[in-house]
Amino acid sequence: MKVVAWTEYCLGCGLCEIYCAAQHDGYNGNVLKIFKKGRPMHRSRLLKAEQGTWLNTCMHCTHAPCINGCISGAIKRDPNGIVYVDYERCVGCYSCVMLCPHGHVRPWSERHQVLKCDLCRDTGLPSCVANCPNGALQLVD
Amino acid sequence: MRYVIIGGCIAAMGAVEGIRSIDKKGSITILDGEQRGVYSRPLISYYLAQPDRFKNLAYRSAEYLDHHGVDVMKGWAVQIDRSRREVVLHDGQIISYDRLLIATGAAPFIPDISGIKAPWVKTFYTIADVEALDSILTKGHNALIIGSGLIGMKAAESLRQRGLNVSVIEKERHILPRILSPESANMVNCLLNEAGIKTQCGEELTAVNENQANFASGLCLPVDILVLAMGTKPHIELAMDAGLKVNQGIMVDEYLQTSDENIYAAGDVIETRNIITGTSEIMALLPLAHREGYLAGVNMAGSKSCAYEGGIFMNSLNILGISICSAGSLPRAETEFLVWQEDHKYLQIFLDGDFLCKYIAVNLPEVTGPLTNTIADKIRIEKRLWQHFMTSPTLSAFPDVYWQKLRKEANYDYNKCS
Repeated sequence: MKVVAWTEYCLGCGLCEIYCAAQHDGYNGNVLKIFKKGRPMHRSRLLKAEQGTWLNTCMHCTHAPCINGCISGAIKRDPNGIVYVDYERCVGCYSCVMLCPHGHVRPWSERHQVLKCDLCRDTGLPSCVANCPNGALQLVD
Repeated sequence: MRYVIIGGCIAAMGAVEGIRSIDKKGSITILDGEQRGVYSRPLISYYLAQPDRFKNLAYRSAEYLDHHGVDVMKGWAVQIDRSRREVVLHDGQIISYDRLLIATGAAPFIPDISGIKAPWVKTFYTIADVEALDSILTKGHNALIIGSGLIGMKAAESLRQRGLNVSVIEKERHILPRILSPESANMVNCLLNEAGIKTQCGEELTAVNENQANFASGLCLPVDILVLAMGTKPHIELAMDAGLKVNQGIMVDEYLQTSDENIYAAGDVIETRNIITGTSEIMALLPLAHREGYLAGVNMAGSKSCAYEGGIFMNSLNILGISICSAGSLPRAETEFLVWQEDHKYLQIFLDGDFLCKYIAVNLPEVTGPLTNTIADKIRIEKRLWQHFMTSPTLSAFPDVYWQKLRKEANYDYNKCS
């Protein structure tokens, strides 16, 4: 499973980032005034290139370089194939950041750890997909 | 089928995953010479810095090993009897195999100089090394690190975090000589000094005396703890005694098979093909060790079907909040490069025609994934596109050629979009 982003339908509004942030770190998807309550972090980033905009999502690769190159075994795959970060173990060496071909895994500087898409695995349909106003994001197998 | 793996680090874990992708039933025995369980070596610096927080150094959990049906056996191998297909352990036990993987890794290089056996001279490579250091370190004491490679820098960081006065001494002209360029080293050097780690280059250790280290230039430094981080050498003795083909490391073919058809080797102990320079060399890197182990495992379990194309040098390390990422090699000394710099951020890319062959990123990790992949996959991107990227190196500005290729490989079904 992974979220694919359709550049031709992406408006570049950035709601995906907002909903992604609100879905994580204990904010339970409550998007209202979320950034007044703290600093939740979005996992995927909206890229804005000359040729268009798109959400840079995780492909949850079959042979994931981030899992194999993680020095602490912090990046794991759950039984559904979702690649996620175990924050008890991440030491913030950024090996995964250096290895991800998609440039998806990114530093979480404040915590010296990393951020990546977990397909909102605790809550059902990924928040970015559920809330994209133009249907530019799709969950595929 | 009975698989035996000598060594219990990253390559061994890769091999377990490779074997199990083909053979779900065969028995797998890991011979854990260090007798500390399967753990990830790079974590030792975190363990030394915060012993209470980072007690668990496992790369894969015990449940994971259980799930894969792996038997971890304490004991180090002293001999391989190829004709009987047996491994002899230090206590005389004999373990027989159908397929053997040598993943014995490497050991720290220790120079033959006077005083080197003093009790306050330590290496920094194993859990036992950390425990030995931990037992003698005192806040405020002077620590000297000999060698400014990855291991030396991580040792320096953890000792600094434990409150010691830390100086790193490098023999070459600049710190992290295998990773950084002179320009980038200059910048990292300043950042390290600000963070409380002193550095000195061009100094070669010649003797260790009572609380003092002497260098070739005549320099004398007071020292309470001295850490040797002068590089490593592959543990090839076992393979050599067994009559396997070795050079600097164990020689393997593209299927990770040694000169004996039942014996494979992977990880820091083998010579690997550097795909940028085409040369065979020791490339002791964690991601390569896993990949080599995995492919060796697949080939051991099935028909030799998965060839290993070789790898590129790549390193990512954080030292006291300074991020350094680098990948690739220089095909020749004079390689064209482009530089971008802003505040504490720095990016240098080296071009061989239309091919990226190396990059060095300081405090700019977010663009390094695509850069690493561009090098490893030898993706052709014109120089003018790199020049454009280097005016503002962000992911959004990364050459579109690259994203197009990724999308094509991801094989999206565009018709599915509603």
